[in-house]
Amino acid sequence: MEKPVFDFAMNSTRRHFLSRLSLGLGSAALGSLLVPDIFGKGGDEGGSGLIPGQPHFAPKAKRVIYLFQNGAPSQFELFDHKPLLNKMFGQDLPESVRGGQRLTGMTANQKNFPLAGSIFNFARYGASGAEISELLPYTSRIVDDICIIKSMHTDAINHDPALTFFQTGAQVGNRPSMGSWLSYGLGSENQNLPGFCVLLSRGLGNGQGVYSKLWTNGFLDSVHQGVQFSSGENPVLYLGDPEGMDRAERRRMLDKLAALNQGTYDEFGDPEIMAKIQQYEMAYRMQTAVPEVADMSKEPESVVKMYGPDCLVPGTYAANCLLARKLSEQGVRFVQLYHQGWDGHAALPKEIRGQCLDVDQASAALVTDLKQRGLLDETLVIWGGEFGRTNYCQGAFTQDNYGRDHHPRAFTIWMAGGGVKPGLVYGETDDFGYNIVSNPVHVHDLHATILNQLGLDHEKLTFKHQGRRYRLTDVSGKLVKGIIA
Amino acid sequence: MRRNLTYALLALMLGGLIMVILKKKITGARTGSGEVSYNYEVRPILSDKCFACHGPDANKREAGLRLDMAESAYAKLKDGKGFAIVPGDPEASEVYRRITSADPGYVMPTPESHLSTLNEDEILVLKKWITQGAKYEPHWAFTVPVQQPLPEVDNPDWIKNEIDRFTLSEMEGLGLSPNEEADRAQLLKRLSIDLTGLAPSLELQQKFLDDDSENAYEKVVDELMSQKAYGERMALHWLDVARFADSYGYQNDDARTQWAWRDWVIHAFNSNMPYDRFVTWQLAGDLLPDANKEHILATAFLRNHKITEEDGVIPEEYRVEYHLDKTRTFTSGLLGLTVECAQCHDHKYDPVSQEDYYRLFAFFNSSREKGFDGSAGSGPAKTPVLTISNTEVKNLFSFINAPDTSQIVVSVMGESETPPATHVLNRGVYDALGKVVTAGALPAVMKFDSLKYPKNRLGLAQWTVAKENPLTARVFVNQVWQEIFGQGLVKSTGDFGMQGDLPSHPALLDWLAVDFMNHGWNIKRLVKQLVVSATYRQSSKTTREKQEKDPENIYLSRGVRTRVPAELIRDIVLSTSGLLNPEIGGPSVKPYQPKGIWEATTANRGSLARYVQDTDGLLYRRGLYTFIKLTLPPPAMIIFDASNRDHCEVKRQRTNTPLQALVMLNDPTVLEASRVLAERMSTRTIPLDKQITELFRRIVCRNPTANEIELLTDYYHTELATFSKDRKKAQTVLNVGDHLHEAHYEVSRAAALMRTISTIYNMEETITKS
Amino acid sequence: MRRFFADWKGVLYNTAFFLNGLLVFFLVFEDRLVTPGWMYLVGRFHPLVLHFPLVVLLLFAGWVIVVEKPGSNRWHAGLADTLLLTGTLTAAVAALSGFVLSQEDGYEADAIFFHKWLGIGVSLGSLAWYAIPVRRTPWNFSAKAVAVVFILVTMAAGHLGGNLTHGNDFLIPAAGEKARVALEDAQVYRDLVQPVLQQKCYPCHNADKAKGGLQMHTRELLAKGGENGIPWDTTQADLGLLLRRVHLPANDKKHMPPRGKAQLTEDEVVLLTAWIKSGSGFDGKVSELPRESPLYSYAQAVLRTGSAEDMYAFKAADASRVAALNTNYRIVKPLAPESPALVVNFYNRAAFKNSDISDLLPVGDQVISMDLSKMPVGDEDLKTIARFSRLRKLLLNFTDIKGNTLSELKKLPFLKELALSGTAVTATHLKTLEEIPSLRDVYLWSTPLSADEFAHLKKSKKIRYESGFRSDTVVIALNAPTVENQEQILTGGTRIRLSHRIPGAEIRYNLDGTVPDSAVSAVYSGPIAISQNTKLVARAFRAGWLGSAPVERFFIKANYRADSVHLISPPDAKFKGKGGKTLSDGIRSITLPNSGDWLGYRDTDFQSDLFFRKPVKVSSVTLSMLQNLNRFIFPPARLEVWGGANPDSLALLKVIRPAMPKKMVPGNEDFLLEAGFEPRLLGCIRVIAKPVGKLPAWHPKKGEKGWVFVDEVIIN
Repeated sequence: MEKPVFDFAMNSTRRHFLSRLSLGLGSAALGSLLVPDIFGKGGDEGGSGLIPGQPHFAPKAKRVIYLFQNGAPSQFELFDHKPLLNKMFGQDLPESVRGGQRLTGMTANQKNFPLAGSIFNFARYGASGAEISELLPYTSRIVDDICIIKSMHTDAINHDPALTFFQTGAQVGNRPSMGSWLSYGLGSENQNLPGFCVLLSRGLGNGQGVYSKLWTNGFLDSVHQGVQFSSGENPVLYLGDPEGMDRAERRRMLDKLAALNQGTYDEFGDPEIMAKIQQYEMAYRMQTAVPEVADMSKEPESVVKMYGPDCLVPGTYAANCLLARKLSEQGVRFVQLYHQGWDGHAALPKEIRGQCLDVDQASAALVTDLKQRGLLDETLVIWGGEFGRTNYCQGAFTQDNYGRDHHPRAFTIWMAGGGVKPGLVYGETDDFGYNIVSNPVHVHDLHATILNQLGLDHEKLTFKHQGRRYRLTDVSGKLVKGIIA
Repeated sequence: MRRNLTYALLALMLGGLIMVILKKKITGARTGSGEVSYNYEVRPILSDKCFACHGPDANKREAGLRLDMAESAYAKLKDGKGFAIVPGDPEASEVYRRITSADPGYVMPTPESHLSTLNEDEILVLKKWITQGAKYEPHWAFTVPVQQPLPEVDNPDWIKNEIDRFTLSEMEGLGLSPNEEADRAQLLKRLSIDLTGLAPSLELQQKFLDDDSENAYEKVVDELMSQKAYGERMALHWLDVARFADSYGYQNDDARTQWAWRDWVIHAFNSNMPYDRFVTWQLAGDLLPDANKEHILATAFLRNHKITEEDGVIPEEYRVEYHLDKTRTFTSGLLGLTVECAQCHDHKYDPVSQEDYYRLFAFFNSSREKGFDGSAGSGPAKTPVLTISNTEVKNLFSFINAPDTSQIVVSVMGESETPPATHVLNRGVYDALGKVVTAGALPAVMKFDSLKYPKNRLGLAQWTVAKENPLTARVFVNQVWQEIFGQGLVKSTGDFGMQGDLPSHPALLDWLAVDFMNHGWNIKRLVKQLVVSATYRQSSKTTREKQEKDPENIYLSRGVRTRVPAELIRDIVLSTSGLLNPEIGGPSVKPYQPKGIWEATTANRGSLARYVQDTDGLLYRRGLYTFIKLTLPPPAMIIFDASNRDHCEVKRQRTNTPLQALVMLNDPTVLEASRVLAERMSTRTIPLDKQITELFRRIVCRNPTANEIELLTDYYHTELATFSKDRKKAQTVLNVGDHLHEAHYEVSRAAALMRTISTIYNMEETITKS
Repeated sequence: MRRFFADWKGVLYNTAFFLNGLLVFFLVFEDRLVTPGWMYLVGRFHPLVLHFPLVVLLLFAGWVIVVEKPGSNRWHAGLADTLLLTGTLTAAVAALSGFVLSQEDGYEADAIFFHKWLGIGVSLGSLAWYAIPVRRTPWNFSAKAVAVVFILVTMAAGHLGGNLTHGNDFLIPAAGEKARVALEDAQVYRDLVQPVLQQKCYPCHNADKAKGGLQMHTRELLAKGGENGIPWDTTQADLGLLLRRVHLPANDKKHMPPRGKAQLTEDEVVLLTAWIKSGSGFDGKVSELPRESPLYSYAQAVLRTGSAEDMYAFKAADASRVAALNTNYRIVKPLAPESPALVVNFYNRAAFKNSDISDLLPVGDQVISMDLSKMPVGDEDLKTIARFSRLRKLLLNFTDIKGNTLSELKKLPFLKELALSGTAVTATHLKTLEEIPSLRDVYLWSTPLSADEFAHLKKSKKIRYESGFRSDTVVIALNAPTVENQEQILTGGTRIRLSHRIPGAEIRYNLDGTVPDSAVSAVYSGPIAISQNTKLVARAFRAGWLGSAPVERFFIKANYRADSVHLISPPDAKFKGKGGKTLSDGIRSITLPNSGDWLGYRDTDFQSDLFFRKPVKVSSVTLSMLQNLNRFIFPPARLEVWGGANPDSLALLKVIRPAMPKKMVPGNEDFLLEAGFEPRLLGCIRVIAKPVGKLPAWHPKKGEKGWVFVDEVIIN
């Protein structure tokens, strides 16, 4: 009984061997199932862990509409009601309150700082009972949809650096703007529209200009640059075909062009050439997509009444709000509005009245409109300026006329939708409205929070440029957990 | 025999095992066999992954550990437990243990740092390096360049000059072989774009093709370099470095007149001013012993930064900002270093302390300028101002192209009698004054010997162009190389520091740098050296193999193929259509620009509130003369990646976007060029294919293929068909641009031809240097 | 029998061989191995199997050693053979499973290194041993040598493995965490604070091991504190002992939790602080907290089913397939990396085909949200849409949906949000929605539904119906009409053009400067011609709107425009405008001195000739000028108008000495200075304006020279 057993191994014939060899191969075959890129190159991936064009985690918001009130609206006339200032009307701001806050060159040599209470009345609205000024009747109707932050603060005290800081996270230097960061981080939703659009308007108030540095791509790829829309016949620069060329003719031209470029590719084999052909195709599609969105003529009267009749007048704030909604609805990642004229150094009451007439109805309408389309939860709306204004008067001072200087220490903005708690008033200032007493929110914190709502970790969204990893939030920024729904 | 089979089988398996072992070895080998180089392999890893917390920055240093210097890295760890690096013994080195650990609480870099952990290869490099004794070397860029013997190559007949020896030996090392020489048409276009920024004229094309003499190529190189356009081409890059612009740049953005300095730059390049002098004048012309107005004009280089005209700013805040900008421009433009970080804290990667930074800053801090020198409308130059009278223009400044007889003012440098003390600014904040420091240049680069150099900008200039300075020559050579070969030998043109890229051809870079200095910093000579090399002359065709082996063409086994810079796109369109106004210099001009974009952004202060387009000849000036309003630079340029001139830029992006397509399709500049060319052509009585061939040669600068001619001819015919039916339409189509219509031309033919031409202008090859 | 026996061993041998092959293969491609979840389970069995080969092989090896001579009765080849074979097989299994296990995270590379390689050695070694003949002659020295080596290797492998072993509950992979409490009924202490203490403090502060006499595991004991006193004291700035210890520098001996132990996260510290601040109550409910309080935020973070992706447990669709479904007008993207959930957006109505929806069915089980707004989607398409069984959000705004097939949506068990704004759905259709259990929000703005129908819908407990903005009741003011003319000076026959953007708006205007009304004022029907300088006031009216605010524009009538202009005196270099043609370009410039459109004079008088090819009948000459007192720009001290056929035959027609401002007026103002005279035929007009020689006494720079700024000469 031994032998045969014994012989077993010896009996291993060629057939056995071959079957065994095939076994070996079989095992390799099976194994290869678990090695997807077996013929590809070994995987060694470093980097910030960001796959450009994809969020880090599930986003609450998909898109942003930023209603920037350029020139810095006065929080005292609009949101931050401070009866004490009316009581102490004309008295000097106690040095203890000012606490060595630096002053702009405009008030630096002002002898005293007479406190100026708002001449406008406030009331509480909505379930949240938020206080809103009579200047904002429409906004007061949506308080339960918005989150008012009364404790914003920033570093800069002059317009240019403050604006630049708000938009790029740095006061100076050529950093990418928030919209560019988002476009870089999330890619564009709709391939046929720019991912980052900029809409400009101006009120009658004292204006502070805007500049393309605010929507620059900085060191990021220039596809992420903000595209400035103009109210002229050409919403996007160079979009319109020259007179006398219709779509069919353009198509004809592009087909020939593609054929020519294909020829070049066959000659040189440079992949850039194929990319070029693609870009021309995208441009062609953009030429139809953009005018479609920009066309207001088909808007129903209900919309016109909601945004106000000005929404049909190109270049007005109302028109831009309407356009913003339409772009956003079409998948534009970031729509940036700027409305000039808030810089109320003098005759503030008169100027701010006009500014509010410009923006109140349309801003509120935008929120309502998104809401009634079921888009508010995935669209983050932000309203605010680059800093606040002083509680004391600058220049000529009477009971009903005064001006306010720049104030970086405390000011008010509001947000809506995009997973931000609705109907909330966050943070508060002291009775003078000069300093923050609870829940301060720094610009970097706001940035971090905005990115977070879009599914991006502000510490991971980095770009390595000239040897340094840059972030929108530079080296700081903490999530404002308190306002996240 | 059967037994053998079984053994064979086992062998197979053992073989497998050995493979595994080998594989590890191979990956090791991939990172350079034999001795691991600290500079080329180790430091990039340490710098990227460790120095942020264990580098030069004293404040951010964790656990008191510093890994960028041997002594501190070998020293006992602060917590007394072991050593960071034990030369020769990875397992005993805390560094190695941590980078290989999987324990989140122990592994380095820490998860919080968001620097991903090291990959297998990187770990292997460090292990190998430690095993070999963890030898530190000084950073390559901080060591004085020396010329090594020219490398030997297998195929010497390919060599045209020294450059080729270096590139070829690299190629041979990688099993790449150089492309054949590009055909003449290709070469000429490449040369013409690199040396003049213009497309070669039909005449020049013909002349070059017909010239079959030995040195035809050298001849055409010399001819092109002798043209005034050469200076304009070279100036383009320098204007980026010098962040040159025609407005002040902050919100109330009024016009300024720095253009006289721009004219000087063009002049300097055309008269082939040696680079050391070029730099010295711009840094310290005003301090030269026998300073004349031209020397002072040169210092406008330092005053091209943005200047605020916003009422109510705090002057000191901006005065400081301006000098920070000067410091940045000096370091990244001339030294190829990014040291901004040191404004706020010791540099994290490079051995530049915050104090070093402000010692450098001190050189500029003694300037006489003001933080706020008047709001919008207060004039086109700010203190200190150089005024150039009309007579001086006639005599001393013949190169300035003055528009009229009125005097010219330029913001320049000038020392203050009572220079303020320079403090270290904590966190870089202008009013957070730290200790007082005196002027001194970056010691990490080269000692600033105050016996040898005066402690002012002149001293700084002398220090900069000293032959012992390891950076200046390398950096400039690299920039020129970048402009001609598409990318620098050091890819990160603005960062020769430890975070920057390493040279692809270190020996070549050093050889060129030394050669450049030894030949009196002769720029024209340098440029010629590059363009006559066989490396440069290669055809830019690429194969799948080369694409895979070297997608970015780092090893130069094919000619450069890149889209031309924004300004040159305009130049090509204008020159090929015959519209170009060849005038040199003068005040910047305002060509066609989409309506309303200045108006929409302005605060209605200053003379630039509205865009007032120029007329006539001024519409057809070269791209570098287009007026740059900093707060809204010319869109067509920006869309093609031109620098926005906000600050010193040494390397432009090269992107490919739909907006670029739209510009080429619809920019009146292109349409007008097409129209004018078409109208002229339509009057000629040569057969269509001849016409198209000629147009193609003018624009693309080579003979079209049969296929191309066919495509274009039947496009022409389809268009002609529509226009013949509808002449009114043809009229509208031709109605573009201010340029007068030809005397008599056939409308529908002209219109059809116009579209054919603009199609050619839209070809990828037209605006590509290939 | 024998055959079976042989086969049986053959099978074992082959299997062992196969497994080893697999093992080697894995090793070769280790760094690219992607281990699917189920494989890990294989790994987890390593500890179970490994002991078997260990014993069996050692047994066999030992046995080999003790066999002293050939044919010894101690030796039983068959049994030995079986022994080795089983050892070989199980060793292979153990090695393979061990290898898989090593792929899991949490092993220090060097700790595992030797164990891994020894294990592999054992597996391959035993196979080799079985294959080579040595094993059949145990009495040979070589065999014994092999055996000894083998024992050592095996033991070493086993020993090293021992150091790596995990806890007892190891075999059951990470069990699901304990059920979450809903935010609504969560308690601050029980569900937020206690878990933290449990995790970070209990280990040292419990009944058995009360460090510092402090026990935390019951509320009473916790509140009581330890030897060092009560844990918190809100009267103190640092809120007492507990937090003080927490806030000590990490390397401080008294820092809590002590070094080396798991530390509190930033959020946890915030939590404890907030809780103690709020009075360290044990029964407070989260829902009672103010929503901006950090406690509430923390609760949300902890209790909410955190980030969305872990709600989606289903398997992901093949990435390449998803990619393939993306077109220019249909974007299909995962919600987030690694998330199986897909989000779909459609664009461009023109390009839309119904098949664009059905094409998605292959990934139908992954799509959780679909936006079809503005697409030509009809009722029949809902049938297709209803097949995307995991839809949570469906946007159908402004589609062609009528609502007849809404009941189809009942097939969607997860549907939470449904947007039907701008569709023709009616109340009757909507009833069926109530039957969708998961449905929460329905958007019905600008649908035919009446106010009372909404009122009725809004009674629903379950679903929130969004009616949106209703314009019918709203009456607001129109915006003013637009005056198309940019220019203020109307030369020759130029007319005034008005427009209004809102279709059907009626424009009424007055030319006498009075505000028009909706009854009598002229209705704008086409461009308006004017005969003299005119102040136009216009308003817009429309049914359903209030009349607009008035728009005012002042127009200057200019009958003639000079054919050419000659500036006799050159303007100041800073204010050269556009030279002579500035005066006759018919444009009134913006009121900014440095706008580049003004001619400025200070040191010389403004003197200019205007020429007409053929003489014109002139009765007045008007200068458009600028005033900015701050910048010394004043009205001229004296204005002279001369006229004649040509420059050599000029007669003085009019002299004006404008009134000077009496006090400082800030800012820029433009004004007109009209010189009227007897109508006469003129071929050339000369205008001279003298700047103020000395600024008036009230001016800060009194006595200095003033400026005059001119930008247009209007001739009637």
